[in-house]
Amino acid sequence: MSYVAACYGITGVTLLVYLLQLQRERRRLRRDLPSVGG
Amino acid sequence: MKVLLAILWKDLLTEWRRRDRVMAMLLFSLLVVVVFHFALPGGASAQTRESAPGLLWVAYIFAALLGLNRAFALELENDALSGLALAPVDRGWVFLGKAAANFVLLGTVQAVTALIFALVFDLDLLAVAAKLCGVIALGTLGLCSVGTLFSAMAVRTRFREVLLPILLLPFLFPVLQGAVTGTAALLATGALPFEALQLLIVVDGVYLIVSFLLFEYVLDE
Amino acid sequence: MPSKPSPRSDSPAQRNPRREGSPLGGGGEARLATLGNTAGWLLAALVLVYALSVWNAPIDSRQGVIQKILYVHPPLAFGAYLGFILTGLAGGLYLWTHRPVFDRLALSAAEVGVVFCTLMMITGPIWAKGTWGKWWSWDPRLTVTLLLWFVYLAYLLLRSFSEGGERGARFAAVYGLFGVLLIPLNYYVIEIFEGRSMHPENLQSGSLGEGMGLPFLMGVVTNLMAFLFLLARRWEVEHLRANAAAVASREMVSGPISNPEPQGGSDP
Repeated sequence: MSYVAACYGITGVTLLVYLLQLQRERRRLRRDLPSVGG
Repeated sequence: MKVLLAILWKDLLTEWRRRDRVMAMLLFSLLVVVVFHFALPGGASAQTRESAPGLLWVAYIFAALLGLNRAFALELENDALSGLALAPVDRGWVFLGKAAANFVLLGTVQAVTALIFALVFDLDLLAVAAKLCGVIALGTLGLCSVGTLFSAMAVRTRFREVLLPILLLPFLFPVLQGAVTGTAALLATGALPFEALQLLIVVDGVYLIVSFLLFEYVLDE
Repeated sequence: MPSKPSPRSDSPAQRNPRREGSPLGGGGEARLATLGNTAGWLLAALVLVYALSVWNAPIDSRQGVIQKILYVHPPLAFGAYLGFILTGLAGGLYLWTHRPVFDRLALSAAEVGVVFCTLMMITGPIWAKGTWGKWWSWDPRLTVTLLLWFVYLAYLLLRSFSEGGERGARFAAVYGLFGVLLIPLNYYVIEIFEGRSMHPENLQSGSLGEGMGLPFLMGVVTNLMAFLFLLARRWEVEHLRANAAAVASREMVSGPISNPEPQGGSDP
């Protein structure tokens, strides 16, 4: 059971962390670059 | 075709005059054999003969990496890369010339290394000499085609000596599979398994053609 | 989720006169952002259904609970291979058209792909340890996957060691293209040398047990959506970075530019 939890857990956490990093940079860039349409 | 021969001749002539690349590769191969002796549990001898084919190709790969690292270094240092790129010839032939030069140089080192291995591991190379040369040639062809292409890329980056192995080694695994299996079978039984031959020919064909086609994107300015 | 119209009262060409032409055009980032938003909301919904279906999936009689890793490991593999193929294709398109947008797609696909590949390389051994008792074997399929991972990493290293710009993009494209060839080649190697594989055989419809079809489908669809969502975001970030660099270099030359009001987008 712990093997299953480890797999789904690691996958979910990793993808989430990656996503949050991307979102953070995206927000920063969009804020600083108003010439970009959104 | 003339371009190929011209570049081949130029590279070999340069090497003949300076001999630094070949000497370095040869000396390195010798040292590697000694390292293998200490690395193997029973030492490098007739008893550990089964390891010989694999180790031979490890030595060949090390030597190839050494040689390929320097393949375009002279041109880069002397700003001759643009000369090569601007020449009004099909760059594919430049690639073939370079790859052929690497092939010849590496082949020379490989021959000597094979002899050293035969000495140390007490191998009978004479019995399978022709076929062995064929297998080694095929493996080296794969090595040199991809190796020359990636060397042209790596020479223009930072840490090129580290980057070339990283780029190249994944592509050598299919070549190794065929070459080591073929060499091992030859040394053990004298017969060359067809799968190994087939694999080497297919891989070599793919690598050669694709490298030939992609080289123009790698040689520039 | 309705698509947001992107206002183009003053053309992007006027605001960013030196932006290189790309198929996405001036409104490109907007469309990409919207696509990403859509994917994001879809993903959220899918994850819920996915979680439920995995939780309620029947327990395999032979492997036990651990068999449920089936619903995450192969889907991750699809993502890894998809990223790889995209990287190669985008690189090829870049070599053909010289449009930076394709180079940015290649880089984004490689980065997202390597994340999926790494996750696959983690979940695989975990599953193996739980079922066969050992973390790794030199099973041909595993070896090819390892190779894929190495090529991914080499690709990213090549990019970071290159001096950037057009040559870096070109070299990366060449490597990516060549890499895409390597994988089928290695499956050919397996076929020739015919290693006996511990790896489960290719799943065909019907080889899955009762009640496993849905969670598996959910796994594939959800992971695919996650891939596309992350790809859209990463690609957009790459565009934004390029624009920021262009603006910064222009400001160095001609002084700060005054910009119109920023327009907000919705983030899921």
